[in-house]
Amino acid sequence: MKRKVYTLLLITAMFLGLIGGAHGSIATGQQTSLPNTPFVMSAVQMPDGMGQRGGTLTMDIIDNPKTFNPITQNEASSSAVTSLLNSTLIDNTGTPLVAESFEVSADQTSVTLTLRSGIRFSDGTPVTADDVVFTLEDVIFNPQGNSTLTDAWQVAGQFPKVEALASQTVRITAPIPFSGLLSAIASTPILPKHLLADAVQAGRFNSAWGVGTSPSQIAGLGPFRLQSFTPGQQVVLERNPYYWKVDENGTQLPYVDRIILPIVTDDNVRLLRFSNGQTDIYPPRPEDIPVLRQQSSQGVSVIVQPAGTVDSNVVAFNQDVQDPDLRALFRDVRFRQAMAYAANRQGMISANLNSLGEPRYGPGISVTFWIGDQAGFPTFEFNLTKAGQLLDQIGLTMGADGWRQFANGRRVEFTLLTVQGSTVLVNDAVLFANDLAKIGIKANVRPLDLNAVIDQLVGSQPPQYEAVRITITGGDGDPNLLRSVYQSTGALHFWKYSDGSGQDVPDWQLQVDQLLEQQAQSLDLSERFDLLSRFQTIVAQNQPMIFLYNAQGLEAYRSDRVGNFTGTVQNTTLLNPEIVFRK
Amino acid sequence: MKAIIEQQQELVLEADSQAVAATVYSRSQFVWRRFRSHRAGFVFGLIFALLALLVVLGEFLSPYAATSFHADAQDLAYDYVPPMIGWIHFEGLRPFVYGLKRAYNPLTGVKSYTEDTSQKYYLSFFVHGEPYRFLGIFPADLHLFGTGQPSGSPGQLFLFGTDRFGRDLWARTLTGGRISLGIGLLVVAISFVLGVFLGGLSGYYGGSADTLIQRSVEVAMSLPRLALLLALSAALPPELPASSRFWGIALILAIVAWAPLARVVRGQFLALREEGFVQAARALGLSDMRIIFRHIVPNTFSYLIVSATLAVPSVILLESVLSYFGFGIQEPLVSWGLLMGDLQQNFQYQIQFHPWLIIPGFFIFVSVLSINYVGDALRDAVDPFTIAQSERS
Amino acid sequence: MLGYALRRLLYTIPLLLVISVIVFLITALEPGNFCTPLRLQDEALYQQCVKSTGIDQPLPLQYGLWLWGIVTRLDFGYSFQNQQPVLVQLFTAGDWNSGTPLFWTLVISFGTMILTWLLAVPLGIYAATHRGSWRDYIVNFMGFVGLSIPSFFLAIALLWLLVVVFQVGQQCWQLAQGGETICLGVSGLFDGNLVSAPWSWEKFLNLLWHLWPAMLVIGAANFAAIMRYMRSELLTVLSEPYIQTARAKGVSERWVIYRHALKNALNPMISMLGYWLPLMFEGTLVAAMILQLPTVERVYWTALRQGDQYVIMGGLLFFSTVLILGNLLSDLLLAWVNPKIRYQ
Repeated sequence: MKRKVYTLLLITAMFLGLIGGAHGSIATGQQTSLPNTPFVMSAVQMPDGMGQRGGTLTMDIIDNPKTFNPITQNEASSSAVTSLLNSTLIDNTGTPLVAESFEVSADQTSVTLTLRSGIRFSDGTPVTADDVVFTLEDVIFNPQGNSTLTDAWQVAGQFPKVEALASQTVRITAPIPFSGLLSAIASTPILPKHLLADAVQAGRFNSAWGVGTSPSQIAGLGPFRLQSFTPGQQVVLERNPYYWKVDENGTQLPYVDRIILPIVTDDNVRLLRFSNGQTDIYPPRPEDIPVLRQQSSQGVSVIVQPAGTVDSNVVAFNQDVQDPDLRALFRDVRFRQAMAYAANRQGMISANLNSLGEPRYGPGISVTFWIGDQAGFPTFEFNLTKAGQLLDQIGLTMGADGWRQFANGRRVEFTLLTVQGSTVLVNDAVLFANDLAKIGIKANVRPLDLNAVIDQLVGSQPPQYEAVRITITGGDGDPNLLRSVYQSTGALHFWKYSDGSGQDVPDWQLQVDQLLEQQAQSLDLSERFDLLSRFQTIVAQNQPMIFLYNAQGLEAYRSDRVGNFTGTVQNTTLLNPEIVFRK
Repeated sequence: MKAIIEQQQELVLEADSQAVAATVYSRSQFVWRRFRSHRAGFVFGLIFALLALLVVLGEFLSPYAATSFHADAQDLAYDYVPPMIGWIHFEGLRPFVYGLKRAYNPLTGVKSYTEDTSQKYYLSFFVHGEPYRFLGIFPADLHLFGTGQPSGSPGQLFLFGTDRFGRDLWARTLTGGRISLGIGLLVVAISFVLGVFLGGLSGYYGGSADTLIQRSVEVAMSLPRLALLLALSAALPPELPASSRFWGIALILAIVAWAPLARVVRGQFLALREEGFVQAARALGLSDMRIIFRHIVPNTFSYLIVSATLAVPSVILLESVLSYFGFGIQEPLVSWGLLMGDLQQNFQYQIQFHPWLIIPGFFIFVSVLSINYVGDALRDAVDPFTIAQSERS
Repeated sequence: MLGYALRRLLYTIPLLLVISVIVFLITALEPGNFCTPLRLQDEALYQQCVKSTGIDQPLPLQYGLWLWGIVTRLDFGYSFQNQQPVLVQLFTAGDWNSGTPLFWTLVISFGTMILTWLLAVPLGIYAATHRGSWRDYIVNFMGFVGLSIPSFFLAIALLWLLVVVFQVGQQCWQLAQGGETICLGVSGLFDGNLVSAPWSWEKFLNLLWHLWPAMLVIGAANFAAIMRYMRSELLTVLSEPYIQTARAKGVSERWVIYRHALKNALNPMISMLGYWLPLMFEGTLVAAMILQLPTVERVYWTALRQGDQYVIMGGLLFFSTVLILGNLLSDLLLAWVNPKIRYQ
């Protein structure tokens, strides 16, 4: 009997050994310490006026952060956290943040920045020009780096020169005039040299500040700092006691003491938790709106914003598909226009977006800042008759079985790929295929794993797919980001019809390439508008992708508890987290 | 040989002295009697038979096809129409429905439907409608009932209401059942064949065949079912169209389901191998195959049927879990799990505004419940020794 | 007995080896890989990722390296996603206050198992002793209902009921330590910031509040099986001649059942313990995905969606090991309760 007891004890001990992980609590001794010249947040920017300090905010995040490294992070659940922990020298409107002031040289090659004196990282260490030099020279410009930021800093194949002029002054000099210099500065968070220099030296910056890092070893310039991370459960952030912003009363920001970010992977459960009052802020899905409106008496407020154009919801056809009949068909602009006529955008918006969206007929139409002139801009509104006429013109005759045929008698049939698990995409595809059936085109919807879709789109040359319903993200702020999609040489130019060397490219595509190239080099805004507006018209006319709709931005929060809520950034993290306060 | 089998039956009968006193039944009659006497099992057996009938005759019993989208004359979808079962009225004995009228709730922005009492649409039996293949073979366009109105007319009959696209939930539930129940039976059939063949081989021959098969059974039984299924179904080749995907899913489910059956079969064979009638058959010089399929298998059949029946519910549930998480059956095919996945896309919204979408879940529940009861009753029926004795206590 | 156990234990090694091959092949079969999504950002990033993770190497080499790591260093590879060893990712990430995935998996699986047995065994006895009565039917029916509800539906419907119908969020109280107000929540294991708070009576009570839906979801299906098994075992024993003899001698029914029959009916039940253990782990998979339980199963599910190869393989190996150990435990228990079984 005794022997059995020993065995049990041994097993328990083994489990305990496995269970006991690293201890990760840090001292929370807080002392207020502001820079000599803090950033004063004007009350005009606060919708509910100045708030009071204290309290906790809770907002679910959709997955574990993968890293706390703001440079190497490349997906939403990590940036949801790191964006609250870090800050940049200036913002993308040219307002100085961590820098107190900056000066651009007359020839547009260099920027001289002066840091706020007395500014500190969230661990209390003063920020110096050395940290800026370290962040740029040692991290971003480091050839071992693994970051999309690196590209933003490159001009003519070279990186700018960064030098510390004084302990608080830095000069960044590009080899040639560089219009992207300020936007590169505005997107680069400043890192603490004292915490990361060793990792860089050892060549392991990419794995530095991983999720296992003790919070005391992570510091930044954002309004919050990491208090604890419990994998699969929650991330807790506490206010950065050294934050450099104050309100007009001189109260140091941020207002709230703590942000709890529970990790909740299930969409339905996130909504239930918000309904239950467990979270204060929730980025709803379109169909959540009726549910949330029912709860308005319980303090739930819903914000419906105008439709954004960050995402392009499109159906695209592979113009280099192997099947010769389909290839000829997909290259025919009349076919693509027929497809644009056949897309019942209102039906999709009604069924999938709960009517919270608006139809879209070309790239970036409606509210972007580069909207340009809409005259002569073609829109192919839902009209099955016109679609049918175009198909007749092409010579696709209706067969006896109700499906159209090629001249050689083959049935017109293709596979419409979409992403498995993304219900909106699948539903759009199902609806689209249903409308196509009415005009005799057989589209077989096939939802695939996201990775498989990516492989079919860009994994091989030429692409493998026939047609796809997909969403392209990004590009609202700067159409340069979409160049890789629209330009025939772009890495993400997934509908192809070009051999990459510019031999076989249709005329309109050549024009698009040219226009995008020109606007990228142009420093004159009105000229850019003009070029982009011509680009839009050409794309809308030729429909390389069938544009479907723009979804409206949706936010929900508990207005009885939360003040100064100004929205979220792409549904993942708070916009202006420092001014949000607890009522 | 016949005598030997009869002797077996007598053994069975002797076990139940009361039965012996009455009449002499064949074994199957005997099992049937015992099954009948299991009241719950019998009732649920009838329920299941009804379900199966509904599902098999799906297209005939529903006025519409499962995949057709319904919309009004302006091409606005008849989405989320509530179940119209309660909206069937009678004029004398003549059933009719009113037309559908759409309304919006401005506060929540949710669509709702009311009856437009200005026009009546009479229901009739055996109406001609959308063409389909009866039992999957014969082309037909006759539907048991319907309003006979053309598409676009407000006079439609959606017994269970419609989904987000205006597809008839009654038709989808019946058609979905074919895949959900079908996959259950198919998987069990595949694993049954595999299990009987390999288990039989293993149990009858023993030796190295036994060792090899036993090791594979052990490996198969050491694989975590659900975790493996989730990983495997993600690995199904992307080229597979939806219909082949069905077979792929069935095969994957069979891979994890065959081993326990093989184990049961082997045990049975091991025991029967030493029985007198098998020894006798062997002494007569009958071939192994003949012994296995003519003498041993029939004797183990009842046990196998029970094991198989009891394996069906878990397969149906597994399929629904897979489809629910988007790894299983895909559009345009329909299964109950997929319909539950539709509900789950936004559970709170659907359950609060369109609760009828839960109906397919109810069908999963009832079918699994009834198969469980039937299996249980069958087990009691074919396993008279233990239960029959305890009956007397 | 000890020799038999040892031999069986040694035997699991080749078994695990075969399983490791299967596990590796399944993971390799999946479309794309961990780096694929990077292709949408930058082809160079993708190439760099492929190189640094080594997924471009030939499959046999990958498998060999993986196995070599396990055998020589107990190194199951690392998580591409989180840049940490698989063992940490799957089992030990976390601390004492918040628990680790392995800790919660064990707590939830064993907790559910104990609870299920505590409920199912008495009900099974009750049903057996009231055979054929309406009580027997009710208990039976309840069991079958639990068996027939899809667990994912039970989980989400339960949460919805708690939130919308019972409005548990209205139940608030003041924490003793810190004076914070906390309301009853759903999903996860704790409310508010109790996750990382040091253990206290309050924290424990809060944990129990979050555990019961999980246990209900996981236990529902197994409850029925155990109960029905208990019932039929007891019925079998009650029909044995020695029980009849005892009855004939005029021993009271209660005495017959609890003194003689129960002991013998429980023996085979105990041997089934090992078979049920893996079922608990499997049930936890669905519950963890919906109820947001920070268990090994959830880490596995997350890895599966992200194509985090070595974590998937580690997870599958872990579940297999649990199954094998469960079967082994059952065989040993069976041998222990039934000395007639020969150790071959």
